Amino acid sequence: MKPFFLRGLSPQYRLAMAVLFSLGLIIFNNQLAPVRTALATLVSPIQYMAALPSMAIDSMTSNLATRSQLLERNRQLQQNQVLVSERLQRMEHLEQENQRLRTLLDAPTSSDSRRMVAEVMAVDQDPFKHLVLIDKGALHGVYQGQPVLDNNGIVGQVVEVSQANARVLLISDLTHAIPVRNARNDVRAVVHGSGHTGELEVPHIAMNIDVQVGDLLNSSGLGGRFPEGYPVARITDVQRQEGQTFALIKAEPIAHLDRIRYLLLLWNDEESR
Amino acid sequence: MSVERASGRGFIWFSLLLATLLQVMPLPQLLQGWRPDWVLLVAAYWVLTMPHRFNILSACLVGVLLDILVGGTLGVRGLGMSICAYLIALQYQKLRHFSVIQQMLVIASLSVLLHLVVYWAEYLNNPGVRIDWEYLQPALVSPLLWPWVFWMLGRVRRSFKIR
Repeated sequence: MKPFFLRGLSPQYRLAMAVLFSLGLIIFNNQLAPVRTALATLVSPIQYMAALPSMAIDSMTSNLATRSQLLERNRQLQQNQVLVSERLQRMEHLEQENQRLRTLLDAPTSSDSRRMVAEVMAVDQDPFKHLVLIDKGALHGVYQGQPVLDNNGIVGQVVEVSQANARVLLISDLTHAIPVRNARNDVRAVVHGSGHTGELEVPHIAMNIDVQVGDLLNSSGLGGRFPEGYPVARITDVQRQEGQTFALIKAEPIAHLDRIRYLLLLWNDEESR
Repeated sequence: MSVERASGRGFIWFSLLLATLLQVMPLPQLLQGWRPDWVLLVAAYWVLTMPHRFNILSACLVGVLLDILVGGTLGVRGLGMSICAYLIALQYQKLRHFSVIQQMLVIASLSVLLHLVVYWAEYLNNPGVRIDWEYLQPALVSPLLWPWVFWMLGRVRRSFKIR
């Protein structure tokens, strides 16, 4: 028999409980990070299931590519490969030279670190956060704070690790900041995310500091989180308004943050040991 | 009796799971902004038709699950969903007798409310967040799907005799 009137707790009572519960979660969000990680692992099958249709469509379109398309693509990649390998040869030579010079100077030599390719499973829908979900997790040795790159430049860092996947915070997120150095004149700066893909901010640059539109900003390695020397952003706009302490500087990320598919995870030397 | 009860509840949660999948499914960039609030639609249906089975606290749990899946601040959607469920649960007898158009308007306003509550709660955590009109696009799409969701779930509910 279906009850005509609701029995049990009144809606007001239930609402109060639900609101208190949610507010508690919101307020203690930072302290609840471990719980969140455990829950994320628990619901990761749902993530995989949700990603299935788009993965199926992807594989279908790649299966249905025509022969001429494949040949054309193959030719392009081979050309690319020749160009890249030529640069690589030169770079190996330079690297050896660099090592020799560094040993002469008694400076510590930098070595190759571990790396791994990850694929983006889903872009998180939360419009206030720029997070992507990748298909590697604690099982593969991914750790919190790990730098993430794509083939153009720095993409972001790992902020949440569950067993089989991890979340990457993009450099365009409002809460993200990365120390950089201007490639042209070594001026140091910190690049902040603006909350919009394709736009970054460079605050706290005094009016008289030499920054121009088109300058390339590389990661400086200060702070120890990101490795040194990877491209981060390019300056797109510099405004020096009279009466202001700092110049208003905008930049755009080098990595195509809206089109990322394959990402590269880097391991710090200390972490991989 | 108890078996029947369990199956009914199982089906409610199964339909919500499906809605959650649709909600977090990766979509092309073009459609991303127009994704309807699947979870809100399905949860609203169950609160409207069976407030004794699915109520505010269950809606809150679904919202928290959604938070984990979309990577938002934990509890933000839990808060929004429970407020929406409360508004329906308060007036469910009246809302059931509304015409479809009126119900669609109610769903549209609930969708706007949900998104604004989510924005507000995120704002508490990080005052830098900004929104524009695009953020409220789902409120235009969701009511259009309401008649279909209502019909579909109603059919399944009757054929499975969930009470």
